[in-house]
Amino acid sequence: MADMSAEIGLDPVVRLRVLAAALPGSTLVTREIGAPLASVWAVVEDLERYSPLYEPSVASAAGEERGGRKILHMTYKNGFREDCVVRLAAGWCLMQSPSVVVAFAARSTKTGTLLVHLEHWRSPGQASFAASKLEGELLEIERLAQSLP
Amino acid sequence: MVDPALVGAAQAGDALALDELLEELLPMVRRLTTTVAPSVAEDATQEALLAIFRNLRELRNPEAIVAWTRKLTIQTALRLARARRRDEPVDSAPASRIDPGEQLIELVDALQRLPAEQRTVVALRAIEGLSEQEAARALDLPVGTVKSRLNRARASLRKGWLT
Repeated sequence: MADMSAEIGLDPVVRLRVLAAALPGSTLVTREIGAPLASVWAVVEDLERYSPLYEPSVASAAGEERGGRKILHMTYKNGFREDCVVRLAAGWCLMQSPSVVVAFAARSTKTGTLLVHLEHWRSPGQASFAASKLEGELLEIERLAQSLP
Repeated sequence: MVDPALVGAAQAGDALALDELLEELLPMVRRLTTTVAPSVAEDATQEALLAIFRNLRELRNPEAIVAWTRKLTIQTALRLARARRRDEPVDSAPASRIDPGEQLIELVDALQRLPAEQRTVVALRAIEGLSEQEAARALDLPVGTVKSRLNRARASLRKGWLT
């Protein structure tokens, strides 16, 4: 896999912590995943295939390229639909819809992968996402990554 | 020049704008931390970025983003450099990555041997291209102090270059 920091110019994990600093009320969780970075990132970056498996509210996600941008058409289990703009790079995934910001950042460690996950409601007055929700998603991502050949 | 509309969107919580703004500001932040606090440059870069983005909504004039970022970065880099008391000579490995020319490496080595305060004014004048007045504003110092630090830096560099 390409060198993470070279692609963006900054360690993706540091980048996400900087982003979180600018989004008051955002929830940020970290997990040391017991799987190599390539496996973890194969799960994270394939949003269409895997996001419905680890994100409990998502029924389906369909991607398209539009005007040089990646758009993810999200359908939620409650019937709500919205589009996310996605920025993807090695170790960096940032998604923003009108209602929510979701991000992942990853780097390789001696024992596996450090994966950091952020979620943030864009509407003022919304309660922050529970850390336990995000931690559950990271656990599921770990399971999916470990199941890859 | 950073688009003030981008800054405004970032201040309003647009995460894509924040990400783009980070990409725009990162090169300058890195240049300054690498010059002002070379032995703690990575830590200084991270702390500076955290300070910038945590306080971004306090910036009243989006057009002043570059000057404001420069000021915060220098304050952070100087604080870390002083805390670490690493004004002593630094291994020239970072300089070697900048330019293979031997004379330029020697010049950068000489620059890195300067005390942090002198290194900072040289960085602002010679690398960032600020006037003495602009450098004084960036550092919250009298112009006279900036001039005297520059003069001392020039004397040290001249001495280091010729010996």
